[in-house]
Parts: sequence; structure tokens; C-alpha cells
Amino acid sequence: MKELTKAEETLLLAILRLKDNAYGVAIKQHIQKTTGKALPYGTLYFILEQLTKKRFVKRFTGESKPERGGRSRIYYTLTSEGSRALKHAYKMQQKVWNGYAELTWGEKISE
Amino acid sequence: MKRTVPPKLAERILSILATSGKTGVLGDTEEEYRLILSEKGRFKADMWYVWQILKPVPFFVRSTLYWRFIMFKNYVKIALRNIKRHKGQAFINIVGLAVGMAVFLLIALYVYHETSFDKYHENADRIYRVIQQRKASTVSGKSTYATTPPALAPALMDEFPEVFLATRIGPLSKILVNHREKGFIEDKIYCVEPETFRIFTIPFVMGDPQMALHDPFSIVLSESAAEKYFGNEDPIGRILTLREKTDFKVTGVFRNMPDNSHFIMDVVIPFRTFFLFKFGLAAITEWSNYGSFYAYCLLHEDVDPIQVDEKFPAFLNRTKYQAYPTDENQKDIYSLQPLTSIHLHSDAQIEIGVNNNIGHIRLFSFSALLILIIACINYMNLTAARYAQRSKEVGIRKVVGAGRGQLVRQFICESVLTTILSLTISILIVLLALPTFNTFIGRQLSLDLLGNLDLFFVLISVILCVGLLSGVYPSLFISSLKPITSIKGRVLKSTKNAFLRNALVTAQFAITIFLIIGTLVVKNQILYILNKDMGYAKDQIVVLHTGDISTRDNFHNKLETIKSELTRNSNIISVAGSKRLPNYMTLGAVDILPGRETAGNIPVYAMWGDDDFIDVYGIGITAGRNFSKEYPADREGAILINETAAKACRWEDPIGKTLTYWGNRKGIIVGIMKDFHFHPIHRPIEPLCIYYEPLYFDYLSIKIRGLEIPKTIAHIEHIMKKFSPNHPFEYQFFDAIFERTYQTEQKTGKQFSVMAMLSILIACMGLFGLALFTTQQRTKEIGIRKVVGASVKHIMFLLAKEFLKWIVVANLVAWPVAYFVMNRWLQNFAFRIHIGWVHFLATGGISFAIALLTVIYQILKTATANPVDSLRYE
Repeated sequence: MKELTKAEETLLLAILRLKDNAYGVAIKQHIQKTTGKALPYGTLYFILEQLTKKRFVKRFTGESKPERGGRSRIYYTLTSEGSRALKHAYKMQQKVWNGYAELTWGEKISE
Repeated sequence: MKRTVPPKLAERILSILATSGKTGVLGDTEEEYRLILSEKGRFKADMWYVWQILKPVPFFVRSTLYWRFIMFKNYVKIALRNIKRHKGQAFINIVGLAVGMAVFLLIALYVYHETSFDKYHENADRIYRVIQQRKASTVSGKSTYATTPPALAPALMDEFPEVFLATRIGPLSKILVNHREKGFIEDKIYCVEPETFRIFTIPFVMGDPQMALHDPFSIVLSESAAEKYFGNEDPIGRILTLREKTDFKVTGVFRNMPDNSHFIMDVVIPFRTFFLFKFGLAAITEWSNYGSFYAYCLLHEDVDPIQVDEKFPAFLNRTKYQAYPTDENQKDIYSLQPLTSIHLHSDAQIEIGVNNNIGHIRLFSFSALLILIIACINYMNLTAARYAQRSKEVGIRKVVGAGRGQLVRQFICESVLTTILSLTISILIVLLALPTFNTFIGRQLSLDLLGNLDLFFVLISVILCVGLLSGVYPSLFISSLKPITSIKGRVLKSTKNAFLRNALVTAQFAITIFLIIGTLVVKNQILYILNKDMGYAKDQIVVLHTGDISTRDNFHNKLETIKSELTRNSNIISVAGSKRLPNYMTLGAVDILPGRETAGNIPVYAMWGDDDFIDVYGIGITAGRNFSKEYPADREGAILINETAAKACRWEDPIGKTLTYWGNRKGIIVGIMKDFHFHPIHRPIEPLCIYYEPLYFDYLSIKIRGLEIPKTIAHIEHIMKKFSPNHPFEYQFFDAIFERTYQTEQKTGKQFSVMAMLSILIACMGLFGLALFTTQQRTKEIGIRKVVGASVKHIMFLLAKEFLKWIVVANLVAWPVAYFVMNRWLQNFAFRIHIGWVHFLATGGISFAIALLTVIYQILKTATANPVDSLRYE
């Protein structure tokens, strides 16, 4: 299975957390809240498109809204492959990070 | 209601920029925009929206331009490496294009200069010259004259409301002008009306143009003439003496007239003054055609010159034909000729200066374009062949991920680089060749591109465009290859362009062969002319131009003394005075009455000379005798005629017959001259007579021995100075004068040989490219042939045959064309060579040799290549 990039991971997690409300603005704001970084829409949609291509997420076109200039919201949900990939990534992360706390015990970690 | 949507323009830009998830991006941005709008107000929201667009710019710059720059550096590096690795090929390629460009540049400069004639005058589009068609005096098929009667210009101003200003201009030739001891024989001396300086744009540096020629004895100089006579001193008010007789006061200095003027004045005197001295003032209102005067006029604005043309017949009936009634069919037709068309379009008799010919200019421009196009096509083919050798590089690049666009960019980048190199080299070539080119065309052109920005930009852009366009084809071709085939090295399988390529090279060789034949024929004809027995002697004759001296008092009385003083030197054999020299005797046809035995008059060319003329030039006498002092009756009027004239008269014995000339002079024919070529060889020998009139000689011809020539010349100078101390001593040798008669032919010869050389160069480039292409294409075939047992000799023969067959075709195409065209050219000459097989066979041999030399290296390389190398990849 293909490894997820950091950005892809973050996005997938955001979509998972937002459940039914996972569309552009919400995802962006969520990411800004959790990581403190502003992700431009261009980048966001580029990654989302990559994820769609890899079949990790699915797109739904929502109802059109007047505050969006008559355009529809585009919602994203995780596919089963997507959640599997996320699970895999989590496991890998855990393995990689395993024992980090013990190794750095006593070191001053400057924030 | 306030606006709640984002700014329209910003939204549109965003919609262009958003490449992925367009609806999503636009919708989301707008939604967030409204959020911010409701929280922080519209200004912040707008700012935010704009920021969304601007934010990715640095990223965009870095990711695209930066990488492009990196790749660009790589392209340049690879291009330079390739040039270094294949020095020979690259050299031929670049220099070939450079030569084409240089030729184009040179000719463009020339054409630009020639088409710019007289356009610098502020009123250039309103200035016209009056010319006339004189049916009554058609000489060698031409009846248009540039000169008009002196009375015309003032009448134009009086009688034509359309004419604003008019002037008459008379060129005076070879007049001695002195400032104290310093004297020069002026060639560019003119007599003009004061209006001249209002019609033409000739700005004055000193003096007042309106008043400068007001005084009858005023003289106006150009800056260079003023400097010649007075150095750095102030010329105004100084005295210049003309013909050692009349003093003129300098009243003005004008800026030198530019080279692109159809006549250039250096010294200017008032028209009336000259006229008074030469013809008497009464003649100034004369309507007959004598003297060489030109009438120029400036029309009012918005006047159609045709209006004036239409009024001329009635006007002439009122004026000219009042004084000289003429048969209706023989009347002259006057018309206006635009100033700016004089230099290229005028082909009249007695022009004020030497004009060019529009056909000549068109031919020049056409050949320049042709050379440029052919050079470009060759460049294209050679480049394609060069790139094809790099098919492996292309394959690898593609495999590693280069897109087609990138490859096209790379190769176009290389083409631009080589084009720029070519351009630099071509400019160098132009700078080096310009002096030679200038003497060849007789102009003073300079590559002052910075002084002429229009021309600069046009030329540079034309050349760059051409370079780019010829780089596009090879680039597209090479980048379209499939990686598999290109790595395998099987690039040049397609033969669909082969025919075109061969046809092109054949055409180039055909042109070359044509030009070589042309060169041979022209050179042979020139040799024939120079070596032909003209009927008169050419060698060891010193010629002095005495036109200016002889019009002065007493000179012809002194002539006998001068002759006897000169012949005291033992190296001087004899001295003759004559109105013209035997190589060019056209004074205009003169009708004489040959007596009752024939019907009507015969036009006969006429000139006069003294009794030594026949001896000095070694002209034979077939019957009768030469003029002689021993027959005092000769003084009363004696005539020599040539054999053609004798035949035309159809007298049984012309000697002793009396003829009338100059209105009332009677002369007796004393002898018949052997026919000699008194016209250039273009024309057959026509009837000629020589009167025995020892006065107003334009030339002294001095026959000398071939010993101690400098001493003899010094002696002549000494004697001449004694008789005319202020007159600068100038002499020429008759054989040089003779050769100058055929300047045009010599020029044509040179033109042909230069063009032939260029086309040889270009055709060789084409053939070389073809050879490169073909041998690459057949590497494998030749490898297999060698494996199966073909010898090197066999393969060389095979390849040579392939190329030489096109040369045979080119020869067959070029021969009939060359025969036709060169025969047409030879028709210009009444006496000419015949085009023989020798010309064709020699040219065929030359073209074969050139072609073989061009391809031999490539053939040898291919034929001796180890088949293992060419077959390894199968």
C-alpha cells in the first residue's frame, strides 16, 4: 500500500473528524485550528483531488447555497480504503515513534 | 443594499488560476468571504480575497520560473557542449546561416539607401521635374529627355496657378575655380535660380538663402567646398575666381547635400550670370533645346500633377511653337516627373546624374530574399540532421520524464543560441565586407544601425524571426520521436521529405551552375572586348582633358606651339587635338546632305580633329589621304569619312565631293578611314565623319614611347604649366579610359562571379546537409552490404552515384536556361562571342568537382565505418 504524505494524513483526519460537514471551508478552518497553518484552497483541492484519484475519499455534491454565489458545496467522506490507509498510517506511526518518550527521557524539550 | 459578493475581477482571476476543483475553490472562497464580511467588514473581506489570489505568486515563481531557469542553464550547457563536440558541423551550420544573413543585411542596406533617394526634402512629394518626349530626335530608340529649354521655368511660374515655385538648374562641367593660388577643377558646379533653396531642403550654415544668389557675382559653397578653399577661415565675403577670369564673392555656405540626392552641388553660381557669359542674356527666354538645363517645380498642396500635364500642349502652342512652328506630329510632349522617382524610375537621355534602375533594385532584393531563404532551409535541414544524431539523448530525456513541450523548448533554445551566434558573425562579416561592397556599388554605406533605429529593429527582427522559424521545424521533428525508436537510433526512416530535400539541393545546384556559366560567358565577352582589334591604337597614349582651357582665348592659336614644344622631347612621337576620343564619339547624330545621287539624308555621326589625330590613334586610311598642312585648301574645309559612311552614300567615288555642315560650312571629302569602333561594342559601326576644324578641342592625345614614362609625363606637365600656369595638371592613359567604357560589363562580370561564389557556398551547405542525412539513414544498409562482402570502393561508388545523379539533373535543368538568358545578354552587343560547348562542359566539370569535394568526407567516413558499430544494436 502506498504511504500517505503528511498533508494527506492531516486532510483525511480532518474529514474523519468533521463527519457529515466535511467540505472546503470547514476542512480549512479545522486544519487551521489544529495545526495553526493556513492551507490555501488551491493546495487543499489539489490534495483532495489526489486523494479522490487514489480512492481514499469520495465526493458528494451538496445543495447549492446563495452565500456561495449559487454554487454547491462539495462534501468529502472517507472510503473504506481511506480508513484502512489511515489505520495503516497510524500503526506505522506508532511503530516509528515507539519508545520515543523513553529515549528522550530527561532531555529538555524546548517548545 | 451593500455588495455581498466578492469583487468581480478578482473572482474572474481566481477562476482562471484555480486549476483543480474549480467549483469547490470558488464556492468555498466566496463562503468564507461572506463570513469575514459579516465579522470584519467589507474592506477586510476584499483584502482577504485579493490576498488569496496573490499568495501563491511567490510559490508559482519558484516552482515554475526557477526550475525553468535551472533547465535553461542546462539547455545552454548542453548546446555549448554539442557545438564543442561537433565543431566542424556546427561551424558549417552557423557560418552558413551567417553568410546568408550577411548577404541579406548588405543588400538590405543597399536597397534601403537606393529607395531613400531625395526623400529627405521636406516637400519631396510636391517637387517635380519637367521632362520631354522628343519624337524628332530619337537616339538609339530613346526619345525622353530630362533637359528642357531655359525659358521653361519662369514661364511655369507665370502661367500655371498650380505651380508654387519653379527653378532651372544647369550643371557646368570641369570648371577651374581659384582662391589665389589654390585651384581645383570643380565637377559639381551648378548654376541655379535663387528659388532652388526654397524648393529643395538645403539648409544654410552661413548667409541668407533668400539673398545669397541675388548679386550676379555671388557664389555659394557647400561646407566641404568651403573647407577645401578656405580651411578654417570664415568664407563669407571671400573671392573665388572662375576660369581665371571672373571673380565671385562667397555669400553663403550650405550643409553638404546627402549622398542620397540625385544631383549633388558643391559650388553654386547664379543662373543668369552663367547664361550671360555663355549664350548672351537674350537667349535666357529661348525655347529651343540647347544647353543642358533642368526645370524643377514645387506644386501647391493638393494639386494633381496630371492637371499640369494636361495643360502643357496648349501652353507650348502659346509659347514654344509661336517661335518655332512645328508639324503637329513632331511636337514635343512635356510631363511632370516626381522627384522621388527620378533615381530609380527615370530613364531619359542626358540625365543630370547617374541614376539607378528599379529592375536592378528588384532583382537585388529578390536575390537577397532568395539567398536568405535558401540559407535558412539549408540551416533547417542541417540542424535537423545534427539533432537526429542526438536521438539517444532525446530518448533518455523522455524516459526520465521530459515532456514534449520541454524538449521543443530545449531545441528552440539551442536554435536561438546558434541564430544569435550567426547574427553576431554576420554583423562581423558585414563590417569586414562593407568597404569592398561600397567600392563595388559605388556608394558610401555604413552599418550605422544605432543612427538608424528603424532599420536596426526591422533587420534584427527579420533575422531573429527567420532564425527562430528555421529552428522550429527541427525542434518539432526531434521532439516528436518515440523514446523506443529514438534510443534504438532508428530516427530517419521516413522518406516522405526525401524528395523535397533532394529537389531543394538540385535547385540550388542548378542556380549555381547557371551562375557559373554566366560568369564564364561574361568574362569571356569582356576578354573578347578588351582584346578585339578596335581599329585604333590603345597603348601608350596620354590624354589631357583641355575642354576648359580650349574655350579660353587664343588657346587654339597656341596649339601649334604647344605641339611643337611637346614633340621636342624625343619620347613624344606626336600630339593630336580632337573634340572626342575614338572610343566614344557620340556628339549626337548630325544630318548631312550627301548630294543628289541618293534619296534623302543619312544620319552621320560627326566630330572634329586636327591632322595628327589619325596618326596618333593609328587609324587606317583606305582611300584618299589624311588632312595635311601641305594642302592649304584643307584649311577651307576638309572631311574624312569612314567606310560605312562611304557605303551608305552610294557614291562611286566619294573623294572630292563637297558636303555642307554646321549650317553653312562646306567641306571636301579628302579620304576614307578604315572602319573603327567609335561606339562601345554594343552597337554596330555607323557612318562617321571627321571635320578638319582645329578649334575647341576637348582632348589632347599624346603618343609616347614606352621609355622613361615618368620623365615624359613630367615634361608634358612642364610644357602645359607654361601655357596655363593656374590649371591643375591631370592626365590619363587612353587604355584606362577605354577600359572604363566597359565598366558596366566589368561590374556585371564581378556581380556574376560574387553571386556564383555565394551560391556555390550555399549549395555546398545544402549538399553537405543532404549527405549527412542520407548517410545516417543508410548506415545499417551499408553495414549489411559490407558484411555480405561489398568493398569500400564499391560503397563509395554507390554513395557518390546517389549524390552525383542530382548534380546531373541540376546541370540538365540549368544549361538551357543559362543558354537562353546569356544569349539574351549577348544580344546587347553588336560584336559578341558565341556560347559554345566548352562553357557547358567546363561548368559541368566544375559542379561535379565541387559536389564531390563536399560529400567525399562523409562518403569516406560512412564507407570505411566498421559494420560492427552500425549493426550492433540489432
